[in-house]
Amino acid sequence: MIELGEVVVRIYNIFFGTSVLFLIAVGLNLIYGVMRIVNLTHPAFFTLGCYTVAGLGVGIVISLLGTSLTPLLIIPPLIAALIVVIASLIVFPLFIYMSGKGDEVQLLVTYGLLLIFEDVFRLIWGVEPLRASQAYEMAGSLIVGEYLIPVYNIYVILSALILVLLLWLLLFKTKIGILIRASSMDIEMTAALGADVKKVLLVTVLLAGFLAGLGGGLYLPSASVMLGMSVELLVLAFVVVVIGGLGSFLGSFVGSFIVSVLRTITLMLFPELELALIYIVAILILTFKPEGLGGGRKW
Amino acid sequence: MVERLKKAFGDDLRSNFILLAIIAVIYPAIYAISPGWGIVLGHGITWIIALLGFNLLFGYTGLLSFGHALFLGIGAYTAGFMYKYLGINSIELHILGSILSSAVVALAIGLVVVRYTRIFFAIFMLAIAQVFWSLYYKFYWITGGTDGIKMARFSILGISLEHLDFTTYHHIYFYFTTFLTTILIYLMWRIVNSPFGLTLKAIRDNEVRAKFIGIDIYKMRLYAFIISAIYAGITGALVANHHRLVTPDIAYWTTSGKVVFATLLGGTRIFIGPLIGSFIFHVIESFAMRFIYWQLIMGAFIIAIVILMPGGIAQILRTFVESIRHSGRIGG
Amino acid sequence: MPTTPIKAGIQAYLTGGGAIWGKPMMQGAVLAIEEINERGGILGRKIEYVVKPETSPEETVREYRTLVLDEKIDFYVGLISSSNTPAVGPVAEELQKLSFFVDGCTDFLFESVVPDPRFCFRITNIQSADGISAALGAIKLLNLMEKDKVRIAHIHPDYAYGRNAHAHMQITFEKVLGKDRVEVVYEAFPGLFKVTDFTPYITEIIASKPDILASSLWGADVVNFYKQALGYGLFDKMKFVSCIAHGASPAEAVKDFPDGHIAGVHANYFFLYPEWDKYPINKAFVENYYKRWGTYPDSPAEGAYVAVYMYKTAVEKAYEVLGKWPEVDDIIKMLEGMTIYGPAGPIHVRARKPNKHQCYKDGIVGLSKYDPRYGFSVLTNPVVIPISRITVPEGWEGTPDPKAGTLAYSWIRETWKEGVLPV
Repeated sequence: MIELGEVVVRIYNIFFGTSVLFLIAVGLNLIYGVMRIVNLTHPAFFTLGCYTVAGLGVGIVISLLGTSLTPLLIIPPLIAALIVVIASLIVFPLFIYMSGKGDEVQLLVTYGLLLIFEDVFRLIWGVEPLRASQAYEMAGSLIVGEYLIPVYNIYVILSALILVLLLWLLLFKTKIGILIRASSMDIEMTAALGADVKKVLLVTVLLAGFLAGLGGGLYLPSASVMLGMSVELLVLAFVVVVIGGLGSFLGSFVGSFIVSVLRTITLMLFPELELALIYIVAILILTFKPEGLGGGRKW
Repeated sequence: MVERLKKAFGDDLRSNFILLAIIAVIYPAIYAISPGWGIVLGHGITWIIALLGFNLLFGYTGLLSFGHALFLGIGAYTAGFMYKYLGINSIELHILGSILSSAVVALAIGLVVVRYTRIFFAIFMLAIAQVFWSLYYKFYWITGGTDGIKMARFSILGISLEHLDFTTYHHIYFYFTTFLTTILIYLMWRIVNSPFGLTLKAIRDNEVRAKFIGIDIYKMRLYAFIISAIYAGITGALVANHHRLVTPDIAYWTTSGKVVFATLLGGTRIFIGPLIGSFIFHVIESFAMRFIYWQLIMGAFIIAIVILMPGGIAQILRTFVESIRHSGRIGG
Repeated sequence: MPTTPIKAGIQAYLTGGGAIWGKPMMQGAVLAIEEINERGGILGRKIEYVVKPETSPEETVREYRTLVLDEKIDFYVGLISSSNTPAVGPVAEELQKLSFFVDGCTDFLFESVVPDPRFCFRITNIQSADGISAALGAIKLLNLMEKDKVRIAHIHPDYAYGRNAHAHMQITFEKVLGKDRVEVVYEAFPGLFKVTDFTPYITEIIASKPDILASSLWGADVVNFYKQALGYGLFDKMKFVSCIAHGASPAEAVKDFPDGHIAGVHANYFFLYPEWDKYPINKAFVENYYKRWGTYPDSPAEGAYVAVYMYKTAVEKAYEVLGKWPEVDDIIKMLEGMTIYGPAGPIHVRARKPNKHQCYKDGIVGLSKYDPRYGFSVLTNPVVIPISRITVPEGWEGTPDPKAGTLAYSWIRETWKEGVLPV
């Protein structure tokens, strides 16, 4: 007998998982869509966002404003996004170098960057997992029938929704957004029409970084960050974009949603299978519908 | 006058065999000075085979696999299972077994995976390698899980090595592996210099044109994939016997990264690259194990090599050697 | 009588996830060495030490060989991971170097890999004792014998230790409570240090309505788990039974751990017990450790400390008998069957199979409670679990269970009476 409360909590978890994965996948798809680069480093930017909040952001807010909820909800993720934007700026020349070069160049360079970031995290923040769950704890829990759910996760879901809206506005209602979409369809034509392609690429990379950093910053209070997270996320992100379709905006959402649903179902019915099921689904999709379920590369 | 295609340094068989011979000769001396470094050389010689296989796929066919640890794992667990469940500790049989198992698994996976673009191929291999890795955990009562499978010393030509002291035992391992590596180097050299090898290079350089002139690129890739898997599997079986313990670690993505890095370091465009890479990598690794930020070094090296010296150390050596040859001829 | 220094090799996790055990382990050994040197060393010989990192089995073995062959150590203290002791054990035997493994408690080591050890010894209680003591502690502290039915959920990390804890907790519950009284309502095995978002697991566990949640999650996993679980109200709905959550430092990480749940310490040492007013050895150890390192000692620290003192005691005893500095075989003979008093209480070195050279000491389990004196959650209402009642006795002839992989599992299955509490 399944209770309503159970169902609500599971749906709640699915949306939380979708929000977090989406914030990683959308940046990855953005960079691929515009630059045709599979950025293996991208998950490291999410992790950087997490580390920034845990190792720096929350500390700053508490020392300046005390331990109060609203600043802790808003400021640390923005600090995280800023730091990741700066990091993206620093690696941007490598992206310019990579665009137009062979596949293996992109893969190797972004893989190398991923390794470097992992050790940079160790260098700056040490080997212990880091936490900063003040906001999560202070937000408390909500009663749903017989169940409790943490309020903080609602905040993450809402933030993701707002970001999707803002992103949509950016991509469809601003000049730079239109240029980004045009470039993702045909970058040569866009350049030929007089657009400043380098600026478009820069905005793309910084935007992807912003989203990843923000995602990490929002996620961290509900969990922790530790070394090795980037690669675990890479494999998961890969599954998300395979299922949703590489380079697709809608696919970022579809992939994240399906992966979260699969995870919930697997843990409910076949806990032993866990991630294995998700990988198997990805492999099946790759085999039978390689362009993914998100309707192809569209922005 | 006999016109002979003079191969540049590194791509000729001779330079490869000379390198092996040098290592084989200095090994006992190095071991005598420091057994630790002797064992490092043992690692170096073991991994050449896997790197050669990997490079057949990457350097010659253009397919970058981030999941080659999968086949190392298959090879290692084959040896482990043969020992644990069949009581076999003959190293010859371990190697034959791992050839068979790697080929079968490579066929199954390859049929699916070689149809994809290079990017998907790379990450697909990573994902499926992770699946296998997680299976070694899940089926812990068969694989021993993280406890692993503990192996006795291997027997060679049916002769047990249990009663020897460690040094003699390691020497036997080293020279057996050198012998095996020599054969496999020769085999690989024949492969890459055959019409098949040329076909692979054509596919690497321009897939569209290759298809145009009638090459079945998927079939060729599949063959290369299977051969590269077999080579990796053989190294897996050797590693299992060298360490005498098989754990899921060998199938983890960091092992794949090691394969990529070591090959890149040696040089992917010259046949001798994997040989050089294997030794230099293990030497660096030995030093760098003491240095905590090992991934930083590896990552920076990878980027530097890709951007600045894509030919790896082999290319540098070739430039040096060719300049000597050239100046020699001018002088004489 | 030689006067040159003795060389000790220490191998510990210095970086990575294992460092929270590795560092205290190293610190315990160093404290013992410094104390001994201050008092003149062992029979006048001071102890020098070299520290090498513990990492993956392949690299750990490599470093071990360096310690033995290049550094030429006299004895070895090290290892936390149960992946590493099966790798290093045979090498220790091969290279004939006296080695004290502090942890790496897998039953596999002395039951399969090195069944007749000469040179290696292991300080920490055997892994199977972990799950068994936590289950027995839970049965006693939660009065489970009185209940008609007990619904159990499990969550353990997916590797040898987690599987071992799961198997032994489960069989203990089944045997002692009776198989028809126990119902397993949910089981999950997340990867070790791979998952940071436990919320789907938490939801499923709560939905399955267990009475107790048995867990061997530790380190970052248990901290993530319990903090998220607090948000879902898990601790109000069931009793959490952990065999290890209070055993891994920093204890500071479990500041807001809920009160009244079963706190296990890896069947080993918790710094408050044996109580200081009754057992000065522990008091002195905790005070000296705190003074030297600024934190409270945990079980790896205590284990390494004991290992060094065990070596000293064995050497001195052998000297008494022989009148000269003992050979390694003399030291080994003294170690076998020896009982010494360490900070955790008396610890005994087994001389005969099965599990020859495994050390045994009573374990404790208790209830979690926040202690304002320390600022973190500690273990109270301790229940001492006599180790002899929960481990395979000397001379027992049986085979390891094929799935669970241990002698202990077979031993419980075959010899324990159903429905009877053995302690």
